[in-house]
Amino acid sequence: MVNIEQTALSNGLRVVIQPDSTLPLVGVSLIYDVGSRVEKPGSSGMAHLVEHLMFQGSEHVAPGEFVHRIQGWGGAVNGMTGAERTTYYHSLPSHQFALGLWMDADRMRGVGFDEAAFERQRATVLDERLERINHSPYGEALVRIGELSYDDFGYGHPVIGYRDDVACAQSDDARQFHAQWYAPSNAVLAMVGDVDPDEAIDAVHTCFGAVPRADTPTRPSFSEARRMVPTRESLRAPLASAPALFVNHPAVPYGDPDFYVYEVIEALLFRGPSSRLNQRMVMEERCAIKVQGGYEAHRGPSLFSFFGMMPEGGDPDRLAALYADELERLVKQPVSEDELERVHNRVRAGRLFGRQSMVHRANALGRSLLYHSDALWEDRYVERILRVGPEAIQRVAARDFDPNASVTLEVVPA
Amino acid sequence: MIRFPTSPPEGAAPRAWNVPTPAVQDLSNGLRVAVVRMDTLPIVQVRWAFGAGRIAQDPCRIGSGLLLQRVMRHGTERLGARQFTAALDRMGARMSGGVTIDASVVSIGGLAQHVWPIVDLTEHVALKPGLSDLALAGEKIRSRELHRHACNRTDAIVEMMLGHGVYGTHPYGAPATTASGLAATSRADLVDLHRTIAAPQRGLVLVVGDVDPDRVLHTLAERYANIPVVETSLPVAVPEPQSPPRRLLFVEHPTAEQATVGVGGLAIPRNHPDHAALRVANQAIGGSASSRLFRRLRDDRSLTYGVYSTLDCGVHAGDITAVMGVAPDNAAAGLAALLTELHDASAEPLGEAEITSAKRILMGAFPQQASGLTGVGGLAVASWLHGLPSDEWHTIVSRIHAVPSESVNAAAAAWFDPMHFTAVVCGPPSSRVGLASAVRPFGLEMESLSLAELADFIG
Repeated sequence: MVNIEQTALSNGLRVVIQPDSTLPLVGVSLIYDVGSRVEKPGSSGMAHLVEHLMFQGSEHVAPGEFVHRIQGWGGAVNGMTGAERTTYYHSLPSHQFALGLWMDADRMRGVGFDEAAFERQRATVLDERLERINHSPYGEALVRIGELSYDDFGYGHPVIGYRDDVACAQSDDARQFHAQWYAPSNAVLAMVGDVDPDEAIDAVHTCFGAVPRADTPTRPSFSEARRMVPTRESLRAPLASAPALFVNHPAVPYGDPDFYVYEVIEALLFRGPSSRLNQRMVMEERCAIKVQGGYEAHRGPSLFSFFGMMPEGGDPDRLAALYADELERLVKQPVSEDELERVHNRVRAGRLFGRQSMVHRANALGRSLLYHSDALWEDRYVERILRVGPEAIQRVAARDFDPNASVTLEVVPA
Repeated sequence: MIRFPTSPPEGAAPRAWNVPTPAVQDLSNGLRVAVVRMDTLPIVQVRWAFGAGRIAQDPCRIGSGLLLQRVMRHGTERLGARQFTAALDRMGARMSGGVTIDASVVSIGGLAQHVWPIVDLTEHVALKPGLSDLALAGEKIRSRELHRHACNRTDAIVEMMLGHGVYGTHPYGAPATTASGLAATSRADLVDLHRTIAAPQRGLVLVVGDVDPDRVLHTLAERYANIPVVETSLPVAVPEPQSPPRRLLFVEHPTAEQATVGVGGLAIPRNHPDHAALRVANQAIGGSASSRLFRRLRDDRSLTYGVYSTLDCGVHAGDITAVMGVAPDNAAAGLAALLTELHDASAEPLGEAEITSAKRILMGAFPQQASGLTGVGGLAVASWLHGLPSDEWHTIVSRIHAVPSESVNAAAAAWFDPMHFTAVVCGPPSSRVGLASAVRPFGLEMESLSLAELADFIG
């Protein structure tokens, strides 16, 4: 990435803009540094519920109008909540780029939902939960593997929350959550597309400059005791038609020097048709229909995860043994230059293909600034991946893929 | 302190922009070669597309089209599975592809510096796939399991049974796979199917990306001019579909936590003169979260997490469907509300504001649709597959703008009338309550099936 403009407003909002006139479009990502990890037992799902409520009106924008105005110009718009952050993104024809900024700034100043809108959104989130968790073959298992993998509630509970917590959520709690966390100093605004950077920065000042500075609460800190004994559990899933296996290991957080080593290990094991697990488990031994997983990096405790879906009657012990064997192979056998070159090319091409979307690039720019305080971090990513050698992979695998620290969940079709 | 502006900043005039134009050459064997230059990023995508898809498969071997696509990923006559995937990864390349009822596509994208090895590899996958017994055996197991998995999902069941309810026994109504079709497919069947589909006279080779278009076009034309035309048994005329008698089909899923509700009816093929008007009507009624269905059923009534209508226009026929997930005790209310909204949208003119908004959405979304190698490539394939005019994508925005409101309303009246629609609900026993009376005003009688009885259709 080149030609990046950065600024910060006096209220603390950090802004990064990358002009690109390939298409008459602009992609905007506004990332708030708050996610489900700040939630306490009994209030799970609040970060996600507030994301829904952000579309239910603000002082100058009627409920639902945020989406309708963006889509009305042919744009795309959505929000997503994770453990670490809440992202609001949209694309617009570039001649209307300031419209989205104005609406984003208005709802940063304050949410305007009434009690009826709150109840409708709470019902909608419960519908979403029904669809994604209860009605999904492995939805409950995903919740359970999260709970088993973390001692701390912050990362261990589902982002969408527990049903009873969401059902009991109150509108005042949601307003308070917004007031606490949706401050300009707790956000990063990234814009990529067909805009003049000076005009864009002027528009940002016009729209966001009026949002008052506010302090945000101290972020929670997390630490997990090192696991000494493997955990294994079995769960019956009425909607699953095939047995499945989840295996998690603790991993290093963002910012750790071994972050890039984990990225390479993920690519070796999971990415691309010649990835080790796809070749062995799906293509050769046929003990899995599909495998997926990889590095789930957080700023707190993080995971390296595995999910394998087996054919009917599949043997979870066999799949677990194969996975353990592949982790062991990382320790014992240095990765060949040829295989590393393939990984490097795959990562490089994947990054380039990802840059085709303005919104995707805006999200990546915003994340770079939020997590690394460096808008050019994404640019340097590939270069750092290229520096990861076979010895580093062996060292990290030997240190971190300890079978005694693993958490395993077997899913049995009911 | 800066004062917050009470109204949004005024927009500027839209910038003129056009989708990149392909350089095209039609070869004497009927193969079309085309190149589109997009040089913002050093990447390239090579596609082979054939104007025959699942429609070419033996009706007793439903799923063989999908199996063929999957087995083609296991290497070529020259490269075994391991060598093939290593060759892809060595270039940072990714293979994708798909089979629809009308077309089959294989595509490899990667770094532009590898354009010629990617051209080689894509050609070999498209024309000389390995189709080994070993690969077929593995993919049959995997496909059978994925099919079984889909047959346990309410949304997939509704999709499959809507296809049957809308098209009857017409090939367009067949599911992508059936257990018996997958089981019956042999290597010889795949070889025959591949020979039928991969004929140059209905093929397109398309290169999109950071390349010199003149040089690439010239080289492709020289390279492929002598591929012989293949005589195949593909049917030349596809009959018009006739919907079977309308009904509400309730599929009882004992363990489901949610019900899926779907309705659908026949519409028009892609090259029908009313296509633009019907697209605008669909956008206004259910095309996005700004459309009538979403606003009324989710935003106003919280009946669902999301509801959309989809206009799917193939070469020979098309359909409209609208599907949503609902809590089981909302199934009857949700289905009645959905049918009522469709009735209102077809019986009464859509509002001028709705039509204007729908047009603006479609026009504004076009640059997004045409972005990236995949977007531009998709437009080029669609032009070729449906025989669209060469200026189709240069005039699409002005043509949508010019569609009269009367035409939009006429299209809505003709194709969104729920009195032509069939309905399917799949959910737990509790979702059955009230369904029969909810659909009676729309002339539908309810029939029920158990999951086990579904095997007659998709087993």
